[in-house]
Amino acid sequence: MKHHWLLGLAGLLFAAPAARAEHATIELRAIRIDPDTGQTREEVSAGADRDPPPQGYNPRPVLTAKANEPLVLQFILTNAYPHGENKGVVVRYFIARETELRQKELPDPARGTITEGRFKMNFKPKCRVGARVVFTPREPGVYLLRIDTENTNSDHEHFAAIDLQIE
Amino acid sequence: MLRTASIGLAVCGSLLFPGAARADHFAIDLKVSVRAGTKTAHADTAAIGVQPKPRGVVDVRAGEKIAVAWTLRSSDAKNTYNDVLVHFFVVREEKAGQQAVPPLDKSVAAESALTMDFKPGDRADATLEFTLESPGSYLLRLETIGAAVGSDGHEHFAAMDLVVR
Repeated sequence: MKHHWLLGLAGLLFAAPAARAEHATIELRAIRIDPDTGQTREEVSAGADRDPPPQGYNPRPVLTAKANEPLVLQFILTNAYPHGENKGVVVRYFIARETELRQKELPDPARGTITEGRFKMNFKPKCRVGARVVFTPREPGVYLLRIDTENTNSDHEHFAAIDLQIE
Repeated sequence: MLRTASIGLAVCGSLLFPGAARADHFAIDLKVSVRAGTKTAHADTAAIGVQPKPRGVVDVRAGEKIAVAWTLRSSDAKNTYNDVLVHFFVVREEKAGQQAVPPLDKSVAAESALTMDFKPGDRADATLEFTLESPGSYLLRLETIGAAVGSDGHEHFAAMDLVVR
């Protein structure tokens, strides 16, 4: 059952959402899992927001977990821009430390991350990109989980984000 | 369903023409970096009757950061491959070098996928960082799904084994 996220990404090639005002839809999830079975214990999800402003308009949901507990990040981004191809679009995700929950300032992933990734690809209408990564925060604190776009040839980019409160 | 059918047809094509010459339509560079060094794997062919190359092995400590960088580029001078799914995963395996790809229903540490049309010369690339917390052997693999088109169509992949101590 855990693998269904990828089936969704592949299967919806022919059935992606119709054109809409926003240029991207994002489904971001942060999941607490049972370390033995991998089954979901609890999860929090977030949808697409706009940048600027850097942290968007919507308050970020918070997932609370314990240090050294295995967590999962999972996202699927669908390009909803219906007009032609954009070359060299970057989709990145990262988990970086914050100083406080829902802080306005975007932490710099260059200062260190728990995990991160970056895809560079050509975007055509309805194309998709996604990832599912297991990670283990070692230290208590507040962390930002974020996925965002760059170089979409627009006056704004899209992102989704969740705060992690690690106790 | 359409996609499944087209993949099935392509697989059938490979069955019918196992000995046909297979041009490489995609080039892959798959690089894994850990504290002890860096290893790179390149494209192999996934088709019936084709023996895969032996995989390289990377030794890593549990909890150590593993950095992966991959590039997949169309090296076909004429054809466009539409809606190719580029799939990457790291999954636990019984032993390093095993032929069977483990099922991805559990023990998957990292996985990603993107869909893209590949015109001649088009490329996609990615970097990912992750850790493996439990000792054991893991298969790290990048593969195409949906690139097998035509009678000699086949998928491409590059793979390595990670041995966590």
